[in-house]
Amino acid sequence: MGAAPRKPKLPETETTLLDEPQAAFHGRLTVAFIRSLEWAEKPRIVFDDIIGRLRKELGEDVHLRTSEEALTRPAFSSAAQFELMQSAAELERAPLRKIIAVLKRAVEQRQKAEDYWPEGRLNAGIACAAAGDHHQARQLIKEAVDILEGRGPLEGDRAGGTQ
Amino acid sequence: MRWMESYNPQEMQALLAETHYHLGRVLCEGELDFDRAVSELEEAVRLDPDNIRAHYHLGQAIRQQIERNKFKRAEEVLRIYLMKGAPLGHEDEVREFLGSRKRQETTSR
Repeated sequence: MGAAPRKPKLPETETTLLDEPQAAFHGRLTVAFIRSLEWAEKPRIVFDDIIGRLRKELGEDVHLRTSEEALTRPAFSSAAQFELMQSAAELERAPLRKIIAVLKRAVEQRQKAEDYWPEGRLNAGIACAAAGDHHQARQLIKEAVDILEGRGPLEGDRAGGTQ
Repeated sequence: MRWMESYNPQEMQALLAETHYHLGRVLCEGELDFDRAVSELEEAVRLDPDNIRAHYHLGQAIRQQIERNKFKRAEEVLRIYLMKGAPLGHEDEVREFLGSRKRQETTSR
């Protein structure tokens, strides 16, 4: 069983951060900061969690002039932390949403030419699942199975799977 | 059906196996339908016995399916026990179990 379905192509990044060392550092700092939120996995993130993650992500010494006590203080209010977590998760999903939109458009365009392209639906479904939308993923992948097994995509299309 | 032109029969079978695998996985991970997830993953394994990921997720789906069904049955019989006046006692414990199951069902939806 050699041939696996082709993975959706990731969109190219708009800028090459490595061309500008300062921008690259800020970019890595931002990524490290977001990761620190994702990895904290506890109700209150303290400054030490963020510093620890920054050190891990940047692979460099992060020097701080602060007291031990200050590091154990919560970094955000509960509401701010919740919002930050949600924004970080949304940022992570943003490229996936672009991929899903592009794939669904491609599926629709090919379908207009009566080309039902199950692999496109499968890849869009995989991307939807990765973005956490399991209902849409089920719809798209089910359509792909139906097409591959010769049952045709029409039932699924009427149900709005590729809409 | 122009999409068909780009696959040979082996590739077509591989794609079908992969599609069943992903459908099973989505149904299981999204907690949408464990019975269907098991049958999709069984089909993936049948079409491609070398797909080790499918074996893993099939195992997980079967575990979840059994757990769900057993819990459901436990809920049914314990509700009957309460309805009959809980003659052996342990009423709070039973109610707590049923409440926790309800909470779990709500959060997984």
